[in-house]
Amino acid sequence: MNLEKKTMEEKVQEQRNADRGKTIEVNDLYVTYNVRKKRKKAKNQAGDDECVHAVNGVTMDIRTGEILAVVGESGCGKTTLGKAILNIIRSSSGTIKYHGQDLSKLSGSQLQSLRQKMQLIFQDPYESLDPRQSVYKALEEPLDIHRKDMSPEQKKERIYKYLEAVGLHPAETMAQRYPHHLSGGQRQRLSIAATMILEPDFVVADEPVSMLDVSIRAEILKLMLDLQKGTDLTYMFITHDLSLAWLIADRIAVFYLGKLVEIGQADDVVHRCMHPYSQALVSVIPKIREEADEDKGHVLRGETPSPMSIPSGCCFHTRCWLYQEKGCPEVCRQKEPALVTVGGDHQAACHFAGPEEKGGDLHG
Amino acid sequence: MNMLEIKDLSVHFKSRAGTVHAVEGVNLWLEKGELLGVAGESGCGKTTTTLAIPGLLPQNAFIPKGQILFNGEDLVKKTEKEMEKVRWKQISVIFQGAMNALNPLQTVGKQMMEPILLHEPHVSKKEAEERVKELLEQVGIEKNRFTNYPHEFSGGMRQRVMIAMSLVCDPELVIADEPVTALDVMIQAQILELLKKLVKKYSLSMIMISHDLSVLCELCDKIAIMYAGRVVEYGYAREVFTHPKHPYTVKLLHSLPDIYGEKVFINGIPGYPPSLITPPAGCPFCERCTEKIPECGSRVPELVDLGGGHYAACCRQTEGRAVV
Repeated sequence: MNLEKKTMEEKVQEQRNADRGKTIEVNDLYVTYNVRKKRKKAKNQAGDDECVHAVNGVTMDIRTGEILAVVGESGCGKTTLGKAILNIIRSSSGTIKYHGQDLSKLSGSQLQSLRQKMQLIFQDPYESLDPRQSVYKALEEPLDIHRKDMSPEQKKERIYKYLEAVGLHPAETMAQRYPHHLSGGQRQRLSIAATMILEPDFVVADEPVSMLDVSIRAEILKLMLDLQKGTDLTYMFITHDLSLAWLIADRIAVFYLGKLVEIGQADDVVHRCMHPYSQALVSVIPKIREEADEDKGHVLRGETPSPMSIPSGCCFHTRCWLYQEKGCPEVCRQKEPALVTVGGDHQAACHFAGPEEKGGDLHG
Repeated sequence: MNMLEIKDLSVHFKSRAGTVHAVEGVNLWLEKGELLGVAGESGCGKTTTTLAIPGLLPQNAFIPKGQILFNGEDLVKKTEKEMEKVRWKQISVIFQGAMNALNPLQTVGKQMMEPILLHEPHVSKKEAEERVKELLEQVGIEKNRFTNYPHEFSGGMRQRVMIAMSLVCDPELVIADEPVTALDVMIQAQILELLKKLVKKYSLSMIMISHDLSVLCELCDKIAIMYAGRVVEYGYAREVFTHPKHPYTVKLLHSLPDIYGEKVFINGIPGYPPSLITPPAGCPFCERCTEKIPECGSRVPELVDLGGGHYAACCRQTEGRAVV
């Protein structure tokens, strides 16, 4: 549970990760959605804030060739962040750099040519595929848009190659099928093929397995890892499942109400987490193979506050168990905690960030 | 004595493509005060089996054979009129998808009172309202939300309402169909905690369906694993999780990452479940099984007692060899 337990090997790996180049640099990013004006009745409640603060001052890097898992509950802004990085959603302020290039300074056509390098895998394979498009058409469309230089033969060759690569074989037969002929797992394979066919080097995978049965999940994840092997492909893996993130990601970023609360190596974030919110998330993961203890850890009370009226100071203090244990210190209500380094390649945003010790004696 | 005993139950569906053998020869039993978890992949028949108990199967379903004994009475033989007396008062259901299971045009309080007024005619409106309000408080919702409409509640709160609603007529058995699916992890933990509390407080018996094994291991006394319409393993939850006997259970457990264990990549189960319109002659899991023997292709294994209340349906078990 403590830092000394890290092996030499882990330290070497950590250093290597830190030395990697940066594919994406996000700096102080804000995404705000305007919502319709409030009706008379609600006008007096919680100020006259009329926008949803989906992403709230996020600064982070995504390193070349890594898998960064973005974890959080629904409404924490993880999908918005992914879409903002891909420039599908306009950011309100802040910068996003792709290999050092500021995306907001690019013209429409420059952005379009960059798009083929930055792709998205959607969550629900039952809804993200056009039911009237054959498998072949679904894969041909991205090539038609981005690779006008390719001849029909070249396209065909590439489509078959990718169908085989994602495990939809025999490619000739599968190419003629329509989405309703395919099972959930096969549909997701097709989505992945459509994403990869442009040979991107940065892919945002938005909950790619959450709609699938557990027995199929592993194969889809393995496919994603196989496609990454030997390349510099970088994944941003959005998920609500912390144990899955731990399994496949190099680093994990934990979000709460549009803010980055903790980021670090996957093992650090799960086994040596510093932020009380991450600690709560870890404590509710069911223990499958061990005797379940009566003490469930930190099940947070109530629900996430509305992103339309984010609490003052530390946005987590309204539900924070540590805030309660500390006797409601004023600093949590007044001051927003900055992301500070808490060891190695590990940062957390909490005034009292520290490892949780067994026996209730905390943060000495 | 077992409170609920499902004996050799089959449920079939008529469809244009042929008869779907959704549930085939299922045996399950539940003692009073027990919490049984039913797990399996989509289409394995877990919902069909459990919805057959209160007689809530769709129109095109029929039961060709089998018994559902509830306190000694066979529910399969009962008429619709007789079943109405069983529902809510003796067996109630928490339906899947709390988001859509409530009537959007009625206040939450009104729809919660409805079963009481229907099933207990001697209870006055006032008493019913009192009871509903008390139950709302039990599930952590303020009394004054009685007059709110479902859209004024969040997903987790609606699930709480559904849970409270299942308890209004003080049933003996509650069937919870995927009560935490589609909820956030933290809300999921809250709901599981609540269910645990209520089971204790009202000494309920419960059948909980989930495709997520890890949810069941938190809560249940016993576990039944289903595959292709059959129960393949049944036993005490802890025992099934730590010493699984059926190859399917073993594989299912390996497809879950365990942060308390070693970081090994999860294994899926290659292949797909068999068609239930033309079920295979032998063991339904045979095609995806890595432990199969020639016998598996021709014989459907029965659920056999392995001692200590642990049952499995695997051809290799009867040979006296351990499967894993």
